[in-house]
Amino acid sequence: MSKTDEKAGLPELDLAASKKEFIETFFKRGAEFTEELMRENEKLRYRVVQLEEERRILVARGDPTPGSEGRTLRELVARIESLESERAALNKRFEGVARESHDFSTRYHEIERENNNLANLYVAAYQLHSTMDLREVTQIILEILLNFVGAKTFAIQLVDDERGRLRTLAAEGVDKQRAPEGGIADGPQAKVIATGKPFIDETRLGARADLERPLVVAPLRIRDRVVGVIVVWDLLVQKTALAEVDHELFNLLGAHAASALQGAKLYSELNGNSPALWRAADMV
Amino acid sequence: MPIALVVEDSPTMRQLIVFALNRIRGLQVVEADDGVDALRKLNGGKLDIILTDINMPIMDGLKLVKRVRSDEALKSIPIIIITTEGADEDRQRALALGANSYITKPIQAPQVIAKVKELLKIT
Repeated sequence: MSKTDEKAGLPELDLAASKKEFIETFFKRGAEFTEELMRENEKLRYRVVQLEEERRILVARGDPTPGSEGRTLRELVARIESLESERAALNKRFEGVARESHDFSTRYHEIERENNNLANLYVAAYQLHSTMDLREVTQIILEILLNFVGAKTFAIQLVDDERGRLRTLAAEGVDKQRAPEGGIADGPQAKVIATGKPFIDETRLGARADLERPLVVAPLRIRDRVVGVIVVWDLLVQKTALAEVDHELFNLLGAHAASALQGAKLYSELNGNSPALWRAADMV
Repeated sequence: MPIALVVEDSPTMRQLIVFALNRIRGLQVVEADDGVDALRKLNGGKLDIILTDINMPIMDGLKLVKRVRSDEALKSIPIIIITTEGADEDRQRALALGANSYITKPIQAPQVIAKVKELLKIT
């Protein structure tokens, strides 16, 4: 057999073999594909059964009617909204309570301060009328100014009508003799004696004592007549301002100190021989 | 019931301090005019705290602090001294002698109450 014959017979053999091989492969692949499809189908059917079961459970838990999942979700959203608004209301209420608590705290401190002020005023008034001894009354007035008001350099001066001048009864922080005794017709003292109203120079707060420039001149009155003044030149270093109670103390001293001094003076003139109190009944 | 001793020669100041202390619930207050009167009223250590002025006749506050601290029965009693502004030297001496704290005049009731409560550990 020539080479050409051999080559000429080969294509026929190859074609038949190829056809057979193709058909075998085709059917084999087909079988495999079919098997694969069946497996896939089985899986999907199993998944469908699973989902059906899950759905059944979900429906059994909630509303069995169709669309219950959406309704449950809406209900949950509504519940969240309701809780949110409840939280907002609680927050608002909490803020209100906190504000109220702050108001109570402020009020408590105000009452506490007023209580202290009243205690100071009570003690001052009580002490002023606790004795008929002129020296003791004077000492009490000095103590009130020093320990209650916090005055550092100050004096009690009385009007000497005969000489038309002020005369120093007692002084603290300055020698009695050095305290300037001005006339009753000039300076802040004169104004206070004429009007009966206290003089306060706020610009002198915190400044060192200048005997020519008083910080406070407060009247000492018996009824409407000014019989003397309290002159304050400076305050203790820790006292940087005059508080409401200080003004009240000046008012209290203005109304009570002079009468206490007057009473003590009259008592001293009796040389300790006080008349029987019951005789007062005849005088009333 | 704790007992406080207020030692102050000025009746005005003493009354003001007593007024403040009376606002501490359950605190009993005893008053003395000077150091000697205070030692008499200390009653062998049956008091819980002493508030004392420094400048007093007969026996001043510094001597009182010294006497209290050197007495075995009294030495643990807390002492608050009441001083005036500018009396730094007296204040330092009192603290060196064993005073626990001080209050400066003009006294404020809340300050007195706070100091006493702190030393007596009252809430």
